Amino acid sequence: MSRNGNLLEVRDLRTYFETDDGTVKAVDGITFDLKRGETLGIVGESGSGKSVTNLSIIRLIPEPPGKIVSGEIIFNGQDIMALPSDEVRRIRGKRIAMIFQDPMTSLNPFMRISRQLMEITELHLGHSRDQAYEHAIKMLETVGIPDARSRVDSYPHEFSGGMRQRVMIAMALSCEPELLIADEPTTALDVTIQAQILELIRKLKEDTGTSVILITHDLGVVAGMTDHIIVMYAGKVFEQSPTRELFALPGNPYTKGLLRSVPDPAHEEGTELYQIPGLPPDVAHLPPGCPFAPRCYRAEEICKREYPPFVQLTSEHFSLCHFAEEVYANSHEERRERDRIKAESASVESE
Amino acid sequence: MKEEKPVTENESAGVEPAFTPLGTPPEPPVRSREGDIIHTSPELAVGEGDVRSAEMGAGLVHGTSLWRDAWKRLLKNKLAVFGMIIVVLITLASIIGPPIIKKTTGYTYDFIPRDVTFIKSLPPFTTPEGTFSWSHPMGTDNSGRDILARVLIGGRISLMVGIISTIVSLIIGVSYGAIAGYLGGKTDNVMMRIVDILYSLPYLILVIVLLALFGGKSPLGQLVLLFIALGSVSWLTMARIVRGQIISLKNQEFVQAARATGVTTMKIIFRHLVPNTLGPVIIYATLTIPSVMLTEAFLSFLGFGVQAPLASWGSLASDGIQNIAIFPWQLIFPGVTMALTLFSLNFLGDGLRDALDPQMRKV
Amino acid sequence: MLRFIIRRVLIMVPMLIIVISMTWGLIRLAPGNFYTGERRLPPAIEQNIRAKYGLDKPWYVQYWRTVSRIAVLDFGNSLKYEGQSVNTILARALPVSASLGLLAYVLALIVGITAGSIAALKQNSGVDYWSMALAMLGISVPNFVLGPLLVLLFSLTLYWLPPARWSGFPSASLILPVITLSAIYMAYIARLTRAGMLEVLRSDYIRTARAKGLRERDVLIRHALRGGLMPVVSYTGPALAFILTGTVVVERIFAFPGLGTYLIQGCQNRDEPLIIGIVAFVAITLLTLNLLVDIAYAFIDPRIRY
Repeated sequence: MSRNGNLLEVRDLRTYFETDDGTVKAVDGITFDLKRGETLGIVGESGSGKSVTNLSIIRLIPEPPGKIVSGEIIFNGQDIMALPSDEVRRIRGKRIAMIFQDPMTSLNPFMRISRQLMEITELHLGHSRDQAYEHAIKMLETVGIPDARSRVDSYPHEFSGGMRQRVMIAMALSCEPELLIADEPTTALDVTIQAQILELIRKLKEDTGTSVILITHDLGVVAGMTDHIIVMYAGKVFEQSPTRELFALPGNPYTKGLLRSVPDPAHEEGTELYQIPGLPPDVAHLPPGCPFAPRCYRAEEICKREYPPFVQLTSEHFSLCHFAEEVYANSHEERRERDRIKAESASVESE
Repeated sequence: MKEEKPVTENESAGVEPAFTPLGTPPEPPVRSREGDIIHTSPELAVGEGDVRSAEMGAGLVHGTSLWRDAWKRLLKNKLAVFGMIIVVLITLASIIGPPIIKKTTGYTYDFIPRDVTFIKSLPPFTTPEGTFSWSHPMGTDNSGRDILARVLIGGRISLMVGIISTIVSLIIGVSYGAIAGYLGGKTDNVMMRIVDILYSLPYLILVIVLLALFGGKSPLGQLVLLFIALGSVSWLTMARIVRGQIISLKNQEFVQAARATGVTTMKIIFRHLVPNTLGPVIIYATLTIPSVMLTEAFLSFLGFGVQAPLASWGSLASDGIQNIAIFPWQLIFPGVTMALTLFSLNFLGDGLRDALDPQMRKV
Repeated sequence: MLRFIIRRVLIMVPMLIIVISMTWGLIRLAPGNFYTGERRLPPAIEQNIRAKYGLDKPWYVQYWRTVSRIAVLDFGNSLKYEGQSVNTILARALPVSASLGLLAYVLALIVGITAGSIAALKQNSGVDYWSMALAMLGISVPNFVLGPLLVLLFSLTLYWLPPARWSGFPSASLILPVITLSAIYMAYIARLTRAGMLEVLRSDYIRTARAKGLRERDVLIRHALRGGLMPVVSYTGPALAFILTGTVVVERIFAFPGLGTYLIQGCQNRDEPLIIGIVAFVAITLLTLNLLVDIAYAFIDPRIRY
């Protein structure tokens, strides 16, 4: 029952929080599509609204102080926002699964792993205790936990960080969901473990055909894993593009800033590392105009006054900027320059 | 080393990435909260979270903006402000009330009227003949003494006992906890073991025995005994809290700087570290006062606390309960006054806790 | 775990000795003794009394006597109540205090946990606000004010319940004293439960449980309750200690012949064996209960290994 092969369509999602400081517009008009079998990356700094977006998709926003103010979330042709909460609960864990950032605190420390795995399939798939138990063991084996049968009855604190994240992945995939949302799955882990976990996610995705939304602030993670990327800032989509194009030909000053901030091994010693100047904005008190204007290298008067347009650069590449086309054109320039230098140094070497 | 990730195909095929993605270093992981068994003194309703967050300490660094911030937050909390006002009013009343009453009506807390017709317990606002009068808003006791005056004097003693005992426990607890926390290692272990042991003793029973055996000497002597006894009950948790704070503070740079410039250990502890523990200490002290007052009250109620002719709310209640069936006001007024004061102090303490420790705030 | 228990039991011994010694010391240091009444006794009689009770021996001998007898749980005979052994008195007084204390604590648990949980679930609602205000009241009104007020209302005005006097277990005479005693602990437990539940409900693993699509009911009972009640379990140790002292006041108000009453009378009579007996008994009880609480911890929180 999906439209155009889209598993998920998010239309103008707005989630606001009422705080003592005022209304925080954590997510302020997000629109994107996710095709079946694809991986979407959502990238942004802390406070950009990326986690809130995910929680909104499965309607897990705490009602006071938060509220999904408007928007449609169309999953497989059904608008989740319009469903009664009972129905949404049936979707959670079964058709849309989520894994979280910190595996140490995301698992119930008082409950055995087996129990935590079993309750999902007992509830959603109607497994009996034995069925659920066997299934739990099988899932643990799938995610690469050695000696699963003897370890399934342990408690979370008896596992290491990487193992715990695997357990979370096992929990999420227990019912073979159509969509897996991974909210910063590797941020709290060691670098070496990060790679393993990401590889695991990728492999499982290939095996089961699950679509994935991967949220992170880490561009490196996103580069290798995703088909499309959304860059978020201050609760809005700033740029949206297929992955390779985003890295090669960014169309937004913010994205360019992000890319430049990543340390490059070819970086010249002794020169300063690049940082986007300034701090992320106070989302409770946003100025009119473009929220990134105070920190933007390209900003002009118009940016401070007028909210930028969402410009379409190619059929799948969009950017929220008054100067989107210019930035995009610059990116082309820079790429031509890089290609030229490469060609020169290649010919020099061959001499 | 990260393994090579195959780049996915997309529309702009044949495009080279502009750089080699290495990935930014991960953000520091969110601190996970380990469960910690902490036996806290119950009468303060200080939960695990309070002590734990005190032990995680960070953020309570010097800076006037912190206090002003906290003060603003406190003022926003209506209940806490209400509590503060009531406490101030009652304290004022106990200090200046008795002299005023003496000036205006001549009644003191131990004034027994010479006219025999007055030596009986009058209900509030009544004269012996049964007509309305302003002279005894709270009535009189069996000897004809004005209860309002007695309640105010009782307030003096109760509040004084509460404050002084709290100060005593503060001094002991803060010093003990600071020293243990700063010195660390074996000394800390031993000191905290002692605290644990003392904690499991039936302290109050011993206090009762102490006061019951030694009571009845001079009222002043009894009072001093009371201060010491009460102060020694509540210092334990204070020591724990301060120790936790010190431990989280002692590795900060300003301590190293002080050490590098040769400041003595004692000075470091008391001049540098302790002032930074002021937050939880104030909170805890404000919550200790009502609990100590309660303890004093029931000790006096049993007859071991404040002795006649001095009066505290507890001893007044003890007197009052004798005739509760016929003269209930003898108990009600001191009792309600005390309850009101404790109520306000508790709200104030809660408010302070919310104001000074935003992590604890309910969302 | 076993080693832990053994270690704790072994520590109880020196602690008991400390408690008993402190008590003994206080009694000896205190002015007055058990045999002086209104008038001074003639020296000869005094001599006899002292000899009879071994008071003419040097203090360290007397001390040793006392401690060694207690080691075999022989608390001796009361000095005031002729011919009654302390153990007999203890046996008589214990049921009174125990029923008071236990019933009060159970009541406090039931009411407190329920109220606190509901308040946490409906945070910032009317129910939350009023129940916490009531809890605050419970903490602030002393039991010696609450008790008489309850008596005034329910016994002397409404004639529903007896005003005082213990009439055995179970009986209506227990109702008012138990309520009086448990009020303050109800309040604390309600606050602790609420705080504990709120904190747990905010935690990541509850979010995970919800993301798994579990029914809210299951999230609460299966996941939240265990962690949320930890503060209450934590509180049990100290609470029981304070209930013990609370019974002293309640016994006084309602004229119950419990341990507290006998302790006070013992102090006033300088009845050394009785005092020491009660104090020792209370100490043993508390230490044991604390140990049981710590053991309970290990069962509730699997992360705790002794």
